[in-house]
Amino acid sequence: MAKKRLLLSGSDEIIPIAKALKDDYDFFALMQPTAKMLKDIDIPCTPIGENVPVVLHSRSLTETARIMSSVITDLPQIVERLPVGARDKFQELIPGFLYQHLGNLALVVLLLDHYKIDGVVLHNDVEPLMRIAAAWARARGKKCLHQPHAIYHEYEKTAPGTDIHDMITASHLAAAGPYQRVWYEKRGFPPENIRETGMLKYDKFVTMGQWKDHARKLLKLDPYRHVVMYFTSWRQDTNLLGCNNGIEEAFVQFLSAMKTMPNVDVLVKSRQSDNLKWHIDTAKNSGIRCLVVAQHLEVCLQAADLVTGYGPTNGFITSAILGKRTVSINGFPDDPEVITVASDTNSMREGIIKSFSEPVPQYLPFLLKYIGPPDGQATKRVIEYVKELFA
Amino acid sequence: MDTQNDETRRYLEERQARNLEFCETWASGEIAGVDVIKPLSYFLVQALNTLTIEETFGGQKATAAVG
Repeated sequence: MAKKRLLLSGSDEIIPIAKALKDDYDFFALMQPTAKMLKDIDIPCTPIGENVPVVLHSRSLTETARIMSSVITDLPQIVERLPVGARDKFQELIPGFLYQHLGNLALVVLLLDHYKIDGVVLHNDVEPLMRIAAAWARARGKKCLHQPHAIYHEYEKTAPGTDIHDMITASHLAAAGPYQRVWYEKRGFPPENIRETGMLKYDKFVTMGQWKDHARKLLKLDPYRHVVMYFTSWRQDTNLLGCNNGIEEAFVQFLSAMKTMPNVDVLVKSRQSDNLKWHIDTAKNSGIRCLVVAQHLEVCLQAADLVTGYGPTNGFITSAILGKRTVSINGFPDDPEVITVASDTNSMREGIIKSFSEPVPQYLPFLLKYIGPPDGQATKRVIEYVKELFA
Repeated sequence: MDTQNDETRRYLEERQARNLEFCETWASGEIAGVDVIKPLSYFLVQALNTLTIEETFGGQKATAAVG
């Protein structure tokens, strides 16, 4: 029997799915890095954008030109719907914007037909490439499973229907936990198409145990001093409502707070995409004892006593699994397990001191709310769900 | 910029809803029966939100952390 053809997006979280299903499915990837990642572990995967047949490429450009000409003809009427201040820029930029992006989206549609894809598994359904794959699946009557890459806590700040993440295109959802299930149901996702599976990426944290001393040796941190770890973040322009005072400002205030606590070591876990150099330079200029690390998330979490960061970063979930103290700058205000502080020096300092003065919280209710039972079985549940959907 | 202020918050909520509504409806175009315009909302709403912030707060940033 011919194997089913599954289109995948995402990063290392899809590896367990691919490993478990490789005998029954052929894999296709929306993006080259996903395909390479699987090929590196000897799982064949075709990046759909590789070796594109000339006729499809040509057709995608023809279709793009057709749509562009229609849109540009209508542009004067379209811009009248915009606030005055946005009209000139929109009118000036939209032709180039369409020229750049429409061709790619058109080509994806044609390629998914070309490869006769049977089902789609995505890590989000709102970014253009992922959304077009979900829209293609919907138009063709195929199933599209969305397994979210985050718990989406912050987006609750705005009413359903006002954030791009509220625009649901996938047909099925592997929800992180009850909170996310309710979140999607409020936004119109059919309840019967949602299953609470937990999130694959947390399984390894549930089973990794505690090795703080070893982690501190690896990072050359003092084994006897308190270590406070700061998660950096990035600007999310899709939502106008966020925490006040901004990500960069919060980091500066955090460093000021830590300056008043000289007996504490500071560990900053950043990413290349979080303006890493700026965080390094700012930490260096603050004059405090501080280590900025762009990788080795597990080692950093193990080494930390307390984790803080801006907003509701998913890092607080991993921190809770590992039993770390947690202090969020403006995030998780309704969760007593996490101390929520404002983004000023005094508030952060008081929050960190308060956290160290109390026992480490019992995080089970918190984890059950956001990721369901922290039993290390999310991967198994997601794989079962994928098999059921795409059998 | 204080997005916790009630008046500012209401204003930004309303603008955000309008920005998204525009991005989801400004044009349509299908290829092989699939709308290829709507997926562009993700980029367009970022651009309109940024313009909103520039227009309203003179370039100060609005931020919402995720991830």
